[in-house]
Amino acid sequence: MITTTNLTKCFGKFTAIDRLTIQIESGEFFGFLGPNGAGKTTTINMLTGLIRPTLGTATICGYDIQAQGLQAKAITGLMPDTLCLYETLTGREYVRFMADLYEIPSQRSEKRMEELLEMLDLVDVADELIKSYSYGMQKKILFTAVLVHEPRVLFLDEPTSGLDPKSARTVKEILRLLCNLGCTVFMSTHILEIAERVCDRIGIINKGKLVAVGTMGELRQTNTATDRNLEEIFLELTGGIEDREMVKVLSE
Amino acid sequence: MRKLAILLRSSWYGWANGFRYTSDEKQKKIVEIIGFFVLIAALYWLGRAVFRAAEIQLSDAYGTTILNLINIFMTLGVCVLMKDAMEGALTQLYEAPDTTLLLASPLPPSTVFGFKLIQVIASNSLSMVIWLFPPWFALGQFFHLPWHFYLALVPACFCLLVIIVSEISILTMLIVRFFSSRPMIKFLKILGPTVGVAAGFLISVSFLIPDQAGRFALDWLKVPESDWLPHLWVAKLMMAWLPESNTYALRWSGQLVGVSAGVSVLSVLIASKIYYRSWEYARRVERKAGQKEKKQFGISVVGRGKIRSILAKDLLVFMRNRKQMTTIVILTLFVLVGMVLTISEIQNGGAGDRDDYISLYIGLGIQILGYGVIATLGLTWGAFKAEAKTWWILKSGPVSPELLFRSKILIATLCSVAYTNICFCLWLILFRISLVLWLPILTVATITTTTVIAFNTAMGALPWVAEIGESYRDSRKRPVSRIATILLTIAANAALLSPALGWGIVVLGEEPIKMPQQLGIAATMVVMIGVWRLFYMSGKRSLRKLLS
Repeated sequence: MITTTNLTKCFGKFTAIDRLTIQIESGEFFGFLGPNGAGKTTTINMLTGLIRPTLGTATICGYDIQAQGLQAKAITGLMPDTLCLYETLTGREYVRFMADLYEIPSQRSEKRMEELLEMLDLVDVADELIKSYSYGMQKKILFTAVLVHEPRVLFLDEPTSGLDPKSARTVKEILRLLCNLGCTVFMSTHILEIAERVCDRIGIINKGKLVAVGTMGELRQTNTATDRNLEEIFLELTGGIEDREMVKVLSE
Repeated sequence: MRKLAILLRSSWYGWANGFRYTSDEKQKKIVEIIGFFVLIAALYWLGRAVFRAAEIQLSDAYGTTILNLINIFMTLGVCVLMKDAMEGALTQLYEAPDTTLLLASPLPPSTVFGFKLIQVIASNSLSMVIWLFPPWFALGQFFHLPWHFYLALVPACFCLLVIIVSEISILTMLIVRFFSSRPMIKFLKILGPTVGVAAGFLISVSFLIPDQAGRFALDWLKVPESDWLPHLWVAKLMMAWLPESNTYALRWSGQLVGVSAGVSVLSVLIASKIYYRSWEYARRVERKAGQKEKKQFGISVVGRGKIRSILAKDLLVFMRNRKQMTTIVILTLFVLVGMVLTISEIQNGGAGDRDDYISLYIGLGIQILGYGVIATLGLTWGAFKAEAKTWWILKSGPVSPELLFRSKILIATLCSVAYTNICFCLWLILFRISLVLWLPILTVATITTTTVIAFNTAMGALPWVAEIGESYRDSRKRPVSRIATILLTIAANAALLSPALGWGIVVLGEEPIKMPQQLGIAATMVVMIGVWRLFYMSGKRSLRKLLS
């Protein structure tokens, strides 16, 4: 469903992503982890056609994101980490706009929009301007707009940050349900607990390089102690163990 | 005081770092400074022209003529400074992102206010130079005044600026504290652009008809008898340098310094009592306003579908932009005022023969075409810049450059053509233009507007105009190229409107239109359509780069 081959992105002399090669299957929930500045958002931007890779290729459902961008974009949905929406549209107008952009028949999109608004507790505020929404509400309307066109592949950058526990749980449940229905989810997150609990496979990126990829079981096997949790594996792979030890020494 | 110094120091570091490390910022400042110099030179030129036209003699120097002339410029400058101060006070005191942080920190509200007041004064200093200095420079040159005249101008105008900013800040705080309501805040926000556009209009009119404008201003802006206006204190202080002057510099300078210090201290004292509460009220009004604003006019009004949804979205975003709507209202008022003045001129017999009538009609017609273009600049020149932050939505969606450009050009053309045609219909009715000419006039207006809109939209799609970066996090800024494109756009718009002007002279001058003229007009219009096609292709090409 998502395939990248030697995907590389350089900004001047700095290599943000270094020969990233992954394959993600249909219906898979893929967690993409990494410390700040590791290259998670850059990867998502390349996979959604927001930025051009310096080298390598990426395909979504067989469509090359560069050569067949429009076909690839028609089946994907993006939820970025930065909230930049049309602030002078109402929530409902924005979701409708997105549905029309993806040419979803109005009857179907209206029904789906109402369901999603209901699920995410947005019905009462759907006719208010987006600029009056709180951060969490903006995030939820963005999530609604991403799902309204029923994408086959979803790219989510920190989807649960800023959400209240109830909404975060709803989002996770919806995503899990979508995966069960065959949708592929590519999610970058800092919340390791979510990644550990909901993702089928996890990729860990550090300084632009993919340092590990696999299911939780496979990740544990690559380490010496098999009872380790994701946090410990993550820290070991990204160099966070030394930091933790330094804190320990300082506290002593 | 120590805390205020810390705040000022960090603010200075922030400004200097932005200037030092960001090349965009540096370029932007350079372009701004060039722009300021151009404006100063223009106002200086206008000042000299007015002084020369008024034929001031040295013997008049102590009379009221100079004071009246200076009063015209100073009144305009003070109005613009008041507008800038009000916008600055509203933004800095209530909307700046750091205000919440500062008020939450262990700083007394008076310190935060003092810091903000200094920021507003500092940010308006350049405005002071632009709007207050040029007429004095012109006067200094006119009478060959010594160098210390120019030196004294700086503290005198600075004191005036301090008085204006402090008074406006007090007024803003009082309004927000005691009369804060959504309509009031809206009114204050609309007032700024209104004054700005009106000042621009007045200046442009006075450049076009300096003699009439000068006479009109001299008649209407006579120096009042009383001495309570601070800008008159500056005028009287500076006039002490004129030969054989009998004004007392010490009195006016003392008054300026004393009042500016007094008013600024008073503003800080008032702020210590009401600033924090007014900030709370402003936040509450903002929050309530957002919740109340339910909109029923939806995207589906123009039907569903890719292009129609982009059209409707652009239209809604445009219509809900307060500044753009204010501009349209002001421009419409200008058109109506122009029509009323023209009618009264004709009725009073001010316009002599047929040629005079025609030049008045055509002048107004060109004005309508120009306003039709200006009113939709947000949909043409600013169409893609307005999308810079939300560009990711279109870029990550299945939107082709052709579709996007088509939708942008379509909405701008529809709005502009609707505006110009409505105004032209009114024009045709009011001036009782022969019915035979209605269709040709409206066709030419439509084709001309469509071509100019295509050009402006194509310019708006250029990367340095759109300022859209590779991703939604960055944006390319090239202020020098941007300014060059603005100048090119103004020149090209004038050039594209000129066939309509020429055509208007031919048609209104001779009725019925002869065959060769008809052919000439038809050929011009065919060329205009060809030019439109050219702009359409070039815009699409630019957009392809932005979307790839």
